Amino acid sequence: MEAFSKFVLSLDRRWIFLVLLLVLFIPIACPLNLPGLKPSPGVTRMYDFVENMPEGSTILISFDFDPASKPELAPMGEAMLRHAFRKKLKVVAMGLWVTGVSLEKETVERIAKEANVTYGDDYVNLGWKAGSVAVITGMGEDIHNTFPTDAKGNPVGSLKIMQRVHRLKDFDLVVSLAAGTPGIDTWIAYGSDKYKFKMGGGTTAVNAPAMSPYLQANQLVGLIGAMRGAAEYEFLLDKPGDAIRGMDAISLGHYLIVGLILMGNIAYFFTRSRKGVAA
Amino acid sequence: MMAILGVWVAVGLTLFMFSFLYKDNPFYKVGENLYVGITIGYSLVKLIFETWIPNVWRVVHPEAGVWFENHEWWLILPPLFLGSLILTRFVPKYAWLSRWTFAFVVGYGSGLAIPAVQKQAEATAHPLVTHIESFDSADKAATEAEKKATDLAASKGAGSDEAIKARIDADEYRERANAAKARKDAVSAAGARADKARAAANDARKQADEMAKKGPADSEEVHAAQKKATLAERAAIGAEMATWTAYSKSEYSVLTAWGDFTTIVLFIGVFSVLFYFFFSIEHKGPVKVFSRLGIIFLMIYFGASYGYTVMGRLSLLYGRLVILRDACYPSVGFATPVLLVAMITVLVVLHFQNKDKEENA
Repeated sequence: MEAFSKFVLSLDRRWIFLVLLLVLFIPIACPLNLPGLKPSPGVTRMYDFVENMPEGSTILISFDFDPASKPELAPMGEAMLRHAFRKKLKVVAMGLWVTGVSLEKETVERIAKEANVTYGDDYVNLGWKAGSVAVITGMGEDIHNTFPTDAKGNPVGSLKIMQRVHRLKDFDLVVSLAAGTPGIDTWIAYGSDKYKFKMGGGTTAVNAPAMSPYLQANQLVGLIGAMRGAAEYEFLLDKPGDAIRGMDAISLGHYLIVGLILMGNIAYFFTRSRKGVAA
Repeated sequence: MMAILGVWVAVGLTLFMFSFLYKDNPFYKVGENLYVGITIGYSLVKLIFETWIPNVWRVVHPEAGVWFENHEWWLILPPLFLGSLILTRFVPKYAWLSRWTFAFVVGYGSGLAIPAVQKQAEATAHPLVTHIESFDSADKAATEAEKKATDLAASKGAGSDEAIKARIDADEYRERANAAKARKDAVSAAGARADKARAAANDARKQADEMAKKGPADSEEVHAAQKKATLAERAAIGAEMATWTAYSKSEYSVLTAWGDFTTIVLFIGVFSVLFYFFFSIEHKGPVKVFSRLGIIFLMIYFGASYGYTVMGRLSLLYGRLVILRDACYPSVGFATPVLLVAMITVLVVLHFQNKDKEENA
């Protein structure tokens, strides 16, 4: 036991990095399909809300993240876009993070092509605009004034979908997929609380606990948390994607970290008790 | 070709950043500086082309085409003036002028943020004190709205704006009335289910007791009957709890949150944490207890946040590993193995070079 404690407490952290890398790489190389994925209430609420939206309803999806959070949030965006196009909803995409503009464009175009939908009639990409809070309050008053042109430079008024929506309240649902601020809390504080529209959210693991009170207070119709939340949405949608494939690796990674924490604690308490005996 | 080059750059930079896990090295420095530089450069270009040119240049520059055509061109002048003042930071003598801009930004931000905080506190408390509309009042309102819509359709035509609006309102009222009816019916249905389950549980218990009295108390039949009775009692408790939940969400309940324990926990958590940071009153007596409760909530939050952070970091690592795997194939020129081997070779050489230098020193 003493040798074990000594080994654990003096272990070079680079060995841990290497083992973690290998553990995560195993399911990437050969998928394990581990069981146990059950949709959480927040994700179920979000899915049910979109599922029950009548055909032709309009949904705004704001991609408020940058490439650093892509593995967590891009699968959510993809799953929500697939769901919206499957339900024949009209999608308006945009973003509040300048470093996420090309990511948003690429995701929307790829899923739109997959769903075979038409730009302007079925979906629109407004792109990015500087100002975050000012953009939200501006859209609450008049979207056409805030975004005179879309991401492709077309006058917004010339797009079929945009002729039906003039302010945020005209959307049947607004969803922010956010990695931080500006994000869900900004949309709620300066958007949905003031202009009274239905709001949903998807966020990174780091931010998920902080966003939960909004779900509890019914300021969000649903909340997708982290890659696990994205995997749950894909599960409900019955369309496995990157998130479901990633859950094997995440689960194995968690087992390893829990194991390391246990080992570290056992070694620490054993060493402390030995010191106590020696004293 | 460009796509393959893009893959090589992505793989190379990923490996450069990961190399920091070994130790600080020139590859990591290159990756770090490129990351910062590209982020700033990209943001600056985006700001110039998507904000400065359409909002300022095209409006105020006479040769850019829309001078005077836009009758609200002068609206750009106040933000342009305030924005320009920030540049006075570069001239120490006039740097104080930039404070005007910051004062405006702080004032604008506070004006928006303070009511937002107030609204958030209200929203957190809202589920606790929500008044639940009764079916009778909702039905009455819906009937009145429907009558108004019918009258307007008859007097001004069904296609008139007023009639359409009245019809939309009436439909909304009817929807609320239907929801109120569903809540009311749910209480009756849950109550009936609970009564039935309780009666079944009582019968099962009675039967088990009678069997125990008649025959040997430890026989298999008696055990089976007792087990059946226990299961029936559990089912009855579940049904009674469901009744209570339905009741608490119906018009019969004053506080909806009685049926939702988590709402109360959250309410106490939010306000105790807020109180912990409220220093206008000395923290002693009950105030101290309440603020100490705030710390406990904060610790739980940090724990949950840490757990989620681990998951988040693993997700990000997974994302990069997928990119590295996808770049292992001949179609992209074996980018991952080639770059990995090259980088390790250089690091090994650098290691021995540094070792020689240290020894010579």
